[in-house]
Amino acid sequence: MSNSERRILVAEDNAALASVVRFNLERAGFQVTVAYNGRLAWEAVQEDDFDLIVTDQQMPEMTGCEFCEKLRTLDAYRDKPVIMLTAKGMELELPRLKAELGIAATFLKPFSPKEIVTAVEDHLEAVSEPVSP
Amino acid sequence: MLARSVKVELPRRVVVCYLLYSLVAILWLAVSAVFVTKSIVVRNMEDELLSYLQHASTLTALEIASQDDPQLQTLVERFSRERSLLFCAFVSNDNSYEAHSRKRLVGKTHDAENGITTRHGDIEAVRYTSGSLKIREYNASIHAPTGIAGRLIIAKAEPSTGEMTRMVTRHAFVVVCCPLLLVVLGCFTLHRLVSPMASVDSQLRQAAIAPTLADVELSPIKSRGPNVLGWNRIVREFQEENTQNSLDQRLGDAVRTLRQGKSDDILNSLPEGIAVSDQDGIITFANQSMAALLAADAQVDSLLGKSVEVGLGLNSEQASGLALFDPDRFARQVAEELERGDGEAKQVLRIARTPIRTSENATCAGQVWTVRDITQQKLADAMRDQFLDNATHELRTPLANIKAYAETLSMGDDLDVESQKEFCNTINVEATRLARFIDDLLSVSSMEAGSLTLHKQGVDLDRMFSEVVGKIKSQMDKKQLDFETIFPAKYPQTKLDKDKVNVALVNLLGNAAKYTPDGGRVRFEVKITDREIRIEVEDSGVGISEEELPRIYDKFFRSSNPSVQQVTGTGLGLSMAHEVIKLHNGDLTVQSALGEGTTFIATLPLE
Repeated sequence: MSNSERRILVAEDNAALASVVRFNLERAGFQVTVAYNGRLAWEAVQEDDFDLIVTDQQMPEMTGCEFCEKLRTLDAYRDKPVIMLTAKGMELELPRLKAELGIAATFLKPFSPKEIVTAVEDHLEAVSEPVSP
Repeated sequence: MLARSVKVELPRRVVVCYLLYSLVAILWLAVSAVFVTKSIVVRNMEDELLSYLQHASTLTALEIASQDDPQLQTLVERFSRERSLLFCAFVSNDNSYEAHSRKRLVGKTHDAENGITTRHGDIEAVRYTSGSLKIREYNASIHAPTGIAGRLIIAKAEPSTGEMTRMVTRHAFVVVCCPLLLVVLGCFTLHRLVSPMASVDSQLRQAAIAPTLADVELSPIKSRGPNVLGWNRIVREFQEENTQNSLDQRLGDAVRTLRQGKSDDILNSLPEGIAVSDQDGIITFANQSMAALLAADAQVDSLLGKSVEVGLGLNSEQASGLALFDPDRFARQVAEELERGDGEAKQVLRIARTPIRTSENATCAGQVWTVRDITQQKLADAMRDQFLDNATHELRTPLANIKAYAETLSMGDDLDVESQKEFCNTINVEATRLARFIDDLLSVSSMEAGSLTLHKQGVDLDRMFSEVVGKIKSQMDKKQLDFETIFPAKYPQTKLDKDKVNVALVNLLGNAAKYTPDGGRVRFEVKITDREIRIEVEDSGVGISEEELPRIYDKFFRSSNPSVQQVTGTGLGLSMAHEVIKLHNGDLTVQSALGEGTTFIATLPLE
């Protein structure tokens, strides 16, 4: 499956950051949808089927973790990779997030967009490998 | 009896003694005088009678020798008369009275009287008692030419003691009155000499019975003499020492009282609660702060006698979970934090327990407990943590944008000029945002240090308010808020620190924008009066609860309202706005209802 068939949801309240992440992911060939807060992201996943989700932790109306918890209640998203962006590295521990919410990776702001793209590609391959012949 | 005698003063006692002995001596003298006089008188009488008898004998012998008919009767009567004799007689050789002064006895036989007989040459003396009279009788032989013619007898009664007393009494003035007079004079002299000693005596008696010497009131004597001077000197030095001592004692007492009172005052004025418990864990001392922290009625007495657990309001189960009450650790110092109550009444106490040791290695005699209310400190800590969290977010977010855009720019050869421009612009905006936040941080640190200063200058108010609106407009538009601005047609000249007022107003409007839901309403109105600029910022946002209103200007304070929590913020905006307006001698007031909206009214005096 090529990148162009992959649908990615970016949940980020900071428009500029959402925009640059979107730009980089689109440049890598993915189809990107942006939601500007947790609630909008939750609405988006219910309407559409995304292959991977990049979400900010601190967002109005619903935090990244809350969104993630809800996401895992949906059958379609039980095992979908989620990459979390955060400005508060200290209080978010990756092992706990991985264990409880199945977060695939966390990125502490400021992060490199290139690394995000690489991480997205890696996790999509990891998910798709068992399915491929 | 003794007690009564004790009351008699010394001079009187001395005088009485003196008088008593003197009188006895005078009496003795008087009696002696009587007897001495009597013996002298008797001796004289004897000598006189002896010589008279010799004279009478000679006359009688002459009469017998010269006369044929001697008139012996006449002679004896004359002799008796001349010397007031008891009697005078002439006894012939036949032992009969040939003549006798008592005529009826003439011719009668002379009976020799029984008595003490002594001889004085030829003269025989007989001393005898007849009735109440002591009689001395003397006889001498009368020699005639024919031999012994007979014996001449003369007798006289000794003077009686009564007679002697009467004799002495006749000289009483000399014998008794003179000594008496001298004795009385002696009394006065003695009294005068002794009276200063009386004062000493009574003071010495006081000294004998007083519990301490300090209680004795020694007084100087108003008299002269070396002994008085000596006594007065002793008294003076004693009084000086006493005064010094009592002064020392009073000073000591005062200092002790002061110290005692002071240490109590010190303990009571400490903000920390201090209590002492004995070996059984029973509170034996607590200061005011301890009572205020723990006792329901804030009375120290209601804590005393209770166990520490009860004083802290813990049940045995809660207490056993605390290291403070672990018996294995009683010998060591332990400090713990304890949360009490819920919600608004929630209290965080820091409790430290230190064992009291009377000496090294001794078993502990009890515990000293110190309790501090660290609720405010905890809140402040939480607020600071929150701020650090928020500050980190505020710093990282623009930084993330800058890095992401810069990296994207540097990697992308395929970017069109338009996109490059847009990216650079974003980098610029984010850098500005970062700079502004750093400015805020610096302002806060200035506020913390109290060194936030104003740089006032003439301001074009119209332009300033336009700038504020320009800065906030995009934020309003993003949330589709109905942003209403009402400005006066004309502005007066005034002096302000334009930059700081600008920041304060942006903060107020920024809050209105941040905490008003999409599609809400914000009104920004400026009114000019004679003396001040009145700026109102009204929103239809989440509002502020009544409990939180007093704290909104606290640094780092952020509402616990979830609608506020989900929006990032530093808790510094309002604090800064308040500070800036206060520095301009203005005022910032707020009216708010939860869920309905908030109105901030800032007033700045015209200069």
